[in-house]
Amino acid sequence: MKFCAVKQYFDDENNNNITSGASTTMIPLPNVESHPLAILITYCKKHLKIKANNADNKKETEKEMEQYEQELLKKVMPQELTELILAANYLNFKEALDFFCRAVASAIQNKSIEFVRKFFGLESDFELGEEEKLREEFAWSFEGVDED
Amino acid sequence: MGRLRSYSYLPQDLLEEILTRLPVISIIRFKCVNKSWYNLFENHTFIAKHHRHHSSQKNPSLLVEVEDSTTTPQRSVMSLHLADGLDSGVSLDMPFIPERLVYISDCINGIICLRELSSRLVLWNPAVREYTVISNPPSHVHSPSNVCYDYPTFAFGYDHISNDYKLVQIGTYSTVLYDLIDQILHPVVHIYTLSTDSWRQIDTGFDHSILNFPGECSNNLYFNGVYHWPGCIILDKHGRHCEVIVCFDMRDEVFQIMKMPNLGDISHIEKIWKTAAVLNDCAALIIYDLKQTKQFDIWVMNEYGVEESWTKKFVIGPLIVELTLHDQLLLVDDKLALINDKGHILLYDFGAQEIKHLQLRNLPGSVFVSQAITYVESLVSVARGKVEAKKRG
Repeated sequence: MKFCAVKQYFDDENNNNITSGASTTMIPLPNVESHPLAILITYCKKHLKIKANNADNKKETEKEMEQYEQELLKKVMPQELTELILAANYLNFKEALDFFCRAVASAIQNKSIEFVRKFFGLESDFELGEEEKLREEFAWSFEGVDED
Repeated sequence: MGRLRSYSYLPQDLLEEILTRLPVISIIRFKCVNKSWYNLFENHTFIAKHHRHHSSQKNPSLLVEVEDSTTTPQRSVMSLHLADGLDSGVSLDMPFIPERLVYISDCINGIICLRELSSRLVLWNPAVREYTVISNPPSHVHSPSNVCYDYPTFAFGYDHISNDYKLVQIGTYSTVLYDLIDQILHPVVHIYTLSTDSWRQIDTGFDHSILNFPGECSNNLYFNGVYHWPGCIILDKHGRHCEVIVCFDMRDEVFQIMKMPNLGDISHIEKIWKTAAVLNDCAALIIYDLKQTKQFDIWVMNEYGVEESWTKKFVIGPLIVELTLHDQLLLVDDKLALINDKGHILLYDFGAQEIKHLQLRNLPGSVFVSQAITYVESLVSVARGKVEAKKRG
């Protein structure tokens, strides 16, 4: 189910017996900016379309979805992903949340400690010498790290 | 575009969603970021969540033992991704020289049990490069000269209630008459618990004059916290017997018997339990008919524990290649990996119905695969020793 938060809103409306005379109902989404919302709507529509096109073939759906996701990532800056993650989480859109979290993980997995600290706005709070010890202990995990 | 909040604005649970999707090597490195991340990555709940996520991904890996007659050492253990199709093999540093490797267990929560030539047993997590030596495995009791002790078999598993790892050692004894096995005696079973680093003996609870089960490890199945082996109940003095599944529950530490699927005429020994695996979250048996070596059946137990729920789900074949008894079969997601006696991995895709030759990187004729297991990385610590990186020449 996509956009569960929105569906919840509709369910609540029906329970309150508000006649939906007008076909357009305004649903307040105070925590979502318009730009990420637009991306999420496009993502959702695309996902449903791909699923419909490949009704029985789960593999094809996965493959096409992956291709679409790769294309989408090229147009989105890593910095924008926070907004997308927060929006997908607020709207309870699980597939999009998974995708955007995976995208961030991919973006940072080969990066250095310094890069990651800057990215998340973190600072080292280790005692003097503690960090060096850890770096030595885990030296093997620093192989192949991207240059900053 | 509106405001762009930075990542420092992300709540902890969403940050964790991102971090669980990182590979183990990145997480180990990021333990150096700050104290909060260090503690998070050591936390059992996070570790379990991380492993659960990676287990559910459609990117299966295999851990393979490879032999190359042109290199020194000849043997090595590699991990490779099936999805990358061909050449993603990465050589792993082992707790001891690969030449001395005798046995590899299945991978449970990212941990593998290894047995060395000297009978030393080791639990190994390749992703975090840690291992622990299992102390004092029981050696066999001195027996009279007409009693022969078979090579012990092992079952490595996990008790999810006590969050503990256990290893079962089954030693079978048989009496020998004129160099032939006369009678199979009661097996001696010991169980090791990681948390206490100790062994104790347990009772099988079976009458071994009628139940025959050597506990061979090559075709066992670990599923739902239970080990399953093929066994045989002797029905009468005329040699009639009934094939069964012998189960050992890692949690309760008890043995039980389960019925095999109805293969038709059971006393026909041409149908063999070739191997067992997990298919779509169900226990599955691959049954192989000696008379029809180009195909095999896959039976699935739709409802675990319900003997009537065994269903013949697939008939695979006819294959271009002939199956031999020595082939190793593995079910990985929706693919079947077959390791033939030439040491090649053949992939059979259920959906696409095609056989693909999976080649390792730079695979000359001198290289072949001797064993493979499915593998998912984890952060689970078994630390008591760190694996030294071998010098790369």
